[in-house]
Amino acid sequence: MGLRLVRAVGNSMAPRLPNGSYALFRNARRVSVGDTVLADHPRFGAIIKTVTAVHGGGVELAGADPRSTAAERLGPLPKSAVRAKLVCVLHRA
Amino acid sequence: MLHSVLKTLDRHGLVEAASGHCDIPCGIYDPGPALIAAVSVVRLMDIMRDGSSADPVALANLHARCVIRKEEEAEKVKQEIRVIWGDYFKPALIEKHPNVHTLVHSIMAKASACKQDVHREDGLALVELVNEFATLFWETKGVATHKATCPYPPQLEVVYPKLGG
Repeated sequence: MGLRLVRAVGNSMAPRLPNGSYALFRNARRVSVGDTVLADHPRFGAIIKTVTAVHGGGVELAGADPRSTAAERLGPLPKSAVRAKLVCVLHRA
Repeated sequence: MLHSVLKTLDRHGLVEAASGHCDIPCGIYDPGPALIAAVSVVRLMDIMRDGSSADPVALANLHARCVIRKEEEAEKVKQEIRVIWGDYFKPALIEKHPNVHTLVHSIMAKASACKQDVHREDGLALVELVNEFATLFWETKGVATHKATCPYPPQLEVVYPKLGG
């Protein structure tokens, strides 16, 4: 099934996924704009963000909270960096 | 119940932690450091102009130190302003204050001019531009500002937020 349990650290995805929330993700190869995804960022490590653009071999991500790291600093990521897509929030902290 | 199960799984290392990464320190933005750096640029230019010594080596040393510090302070202005512009100003704020891009670009250019030469008027213009940016920043926070002479050389007019009133 490729399911994984993930705990959100930080408030970038608040109010949907505040710090300490638990969510279920499933492995995904295809993502679309608006999907909340788990991705590996070369600088920030494992991150949860929302897909804001998909083009060529890459995706652009952004947080939901104004304090979130600016999309410009996250930069575009290759699609291969996206590991999984949010299925549901199991517990909102 | 579900939360207890999840916490137990988490304690046993069965849950992956993923950061909704925020900038550190989260949400803390203040143009104050940029203003101090801009004022420092002018101060360093003044020291370079006014510094005198019978010992030419000592004078060269003073100038070298001032040039290095001027470079650093001008770069700090650019860095501090870039972070506020890039991380704090979100699309909604930019829509309300569309001149922020031009203002930030002017600050970048003027700070570079201050690095390249020692024209005091460039330093003064840099302080004024950063003052303008500080006024704009505090306006977005709904915080009133006032101008006051900074209590140290070169005693220039600087924008301060009116806090605690």
